[in-house]
Amino acid sequence: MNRECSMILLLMAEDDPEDQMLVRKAFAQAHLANDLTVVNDGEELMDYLHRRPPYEQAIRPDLILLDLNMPRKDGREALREIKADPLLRSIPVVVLTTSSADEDILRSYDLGVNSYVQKPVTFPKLVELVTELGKYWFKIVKLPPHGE
Amino acid sequence: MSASEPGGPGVRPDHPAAVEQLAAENDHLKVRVAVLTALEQRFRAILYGIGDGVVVTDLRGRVQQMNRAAESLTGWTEAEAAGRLVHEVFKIVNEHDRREVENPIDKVVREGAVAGLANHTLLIARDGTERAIADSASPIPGSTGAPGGVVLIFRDVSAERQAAKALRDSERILADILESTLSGYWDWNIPAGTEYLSPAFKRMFGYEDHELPNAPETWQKLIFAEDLPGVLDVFRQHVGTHGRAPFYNEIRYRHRDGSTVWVICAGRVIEWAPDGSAVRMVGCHVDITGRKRTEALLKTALEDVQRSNRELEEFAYVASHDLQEPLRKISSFSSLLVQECGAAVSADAREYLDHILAAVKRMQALINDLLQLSRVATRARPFAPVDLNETLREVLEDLDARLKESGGTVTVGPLPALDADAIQMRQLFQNLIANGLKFRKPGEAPVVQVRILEADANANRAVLCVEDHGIGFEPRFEERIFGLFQRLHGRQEYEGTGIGLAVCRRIVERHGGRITAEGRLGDGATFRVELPMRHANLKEGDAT
Repeated sequence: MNRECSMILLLMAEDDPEDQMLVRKAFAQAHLANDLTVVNDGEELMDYLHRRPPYEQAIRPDLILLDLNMPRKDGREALREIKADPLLRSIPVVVLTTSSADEDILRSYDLGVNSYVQKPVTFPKLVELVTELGKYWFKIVKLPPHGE
Repeated sequence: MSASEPGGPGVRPDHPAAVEQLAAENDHLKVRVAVLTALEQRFRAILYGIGDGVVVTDLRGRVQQMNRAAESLTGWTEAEAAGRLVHEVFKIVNEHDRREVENPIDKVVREGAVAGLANHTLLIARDGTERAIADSASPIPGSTGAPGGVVLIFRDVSAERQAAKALRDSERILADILESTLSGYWDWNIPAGTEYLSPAFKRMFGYEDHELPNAPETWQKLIFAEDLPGVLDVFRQHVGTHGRAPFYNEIRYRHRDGSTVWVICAGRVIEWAPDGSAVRMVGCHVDITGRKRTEALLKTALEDVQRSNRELEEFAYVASHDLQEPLRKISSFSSLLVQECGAAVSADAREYLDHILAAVKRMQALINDLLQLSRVATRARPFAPVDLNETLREVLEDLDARLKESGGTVTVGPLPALDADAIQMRQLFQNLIANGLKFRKPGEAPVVQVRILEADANANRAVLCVEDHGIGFEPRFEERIFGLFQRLHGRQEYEGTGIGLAVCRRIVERHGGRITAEGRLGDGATFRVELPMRHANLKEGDAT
């Protein structure tokens, strides 16, 4: 709905295809027509961010939605790598996970996550959450400029 | 020269020389009589002074003399007994068959030699009193050298016999105890370096009595090498404290068949040298291999239970998380279905979808509750002092919305402080009070009272009660309401999964307490919570 919003690139790391679909649907219902790119695990995420094949043409995302429990490389490891990398750490990361375990929350913030959000249990709640996320990250917050 | 000589043949009494001689002889006789009288007095003094009974008879067995000891043992006085047959005065029988025993006097008369009495002889006194006696009889030489009489000497041995019997009894009792408890006995002469080891001692390790020498080296070789220094240390302390430090060890020995024998070795020094060193020490060996085995089994079983409990808690926690996932999908896609195809499906189909969504919601609530229950253990915090007044203030703040909505009131009396998990105390009272508010009578503002029934620091017990005046329940459900997912009402009447009181019970039990309920159908319910006030195992720093 907002032209500026549509310029913003979202990257989601999520292994569950159903969750990928639900988040896409929620974004649609929240009228956030952003470019939503999906990778399936932490390794793909890092490949994408480092523009390794097959992501040579990848565009740097403005925000990463990160699941914690994924195969091969999970969200915790990916988060540590992103926040340890001087070129990547300015990209805001929002953890979106089913886990409400204290140690996951603490560890994520410790590693430098920007927000930690638990996946809502119903679809209407997910739409609500995505709407709020969109409002916050794409309207309220000033994101770091492209081409650092 | 004998007393019969004066006036002998050839002496004429009218002869003056003879008269003189007679007078001289008379004087001589007087002296002799005096000497004899003195001797007899001396003899009688000795005879009557002797502590043993003495009876003198002639060769026909007739009593001539008896001393005081004999009088008191037989019950006859010397005067009464004199001239009577000794069998009458000195009646003896065998103590076992009660047959008359041959009188030793008869034997002396017959054999002319000293006769001892057979064992187990009872003397029956004149009044019927029976006494165990020991005696002997000897011939008294007469003037011609042949026996002139018999002297019978006897004494009461009942006290000795009793003491000997008591000693035998206690020895037998000790042996029986040692044997029946399969205990070994040892008796160590420390300076001599010798040690008696009882047969049971050796049997405990698989050896016959003759197969092991009675020496301290025997056990020092059989004991586990790593257990020996400890025993010697305990021994040194026992001796060093002059026996005040007990000599007690639980140690291992190697059985002949190679197995391990666990033994309690306890004893004490019973004889000390003047310089304070130990001379003699005695003690026991008790086989506790069975007990040690049971202890080990119990320990393993306990560890198994603890591990499986832990695994169960982890399982419940993980399952609760993972179970949520498919539910989230069912719920989300059902919503999408309604949204995107709502117009295309029938009214019935829409209703089915609503049922699916409602069921999912309920299932999610159940899983959350299960998670809450498992958290009583997995999210447990160490006990620390908790002021329940503060806890209740927080609970009432949390329940504020529900109180306003129901118009209810909660009265809280002064409450004690106790060692507990503060978060769980809050959960406990929140659940109990919420329960009281929920099951109110329709159209009536609920009143819940929280008060203390008893706070006894000595008994380490605080008893609190949470009481409401709501709909109550039948007394037969008093136990059931604490069960997992147990409900007494339909979901339409009162919402909830039936987990609240199960969580309460878990919390109270984790604190080592008890929770019971008393229901009055149509007249409210009282929950009684009993909690220990202090927990000894508070870790350092928990109190802050």
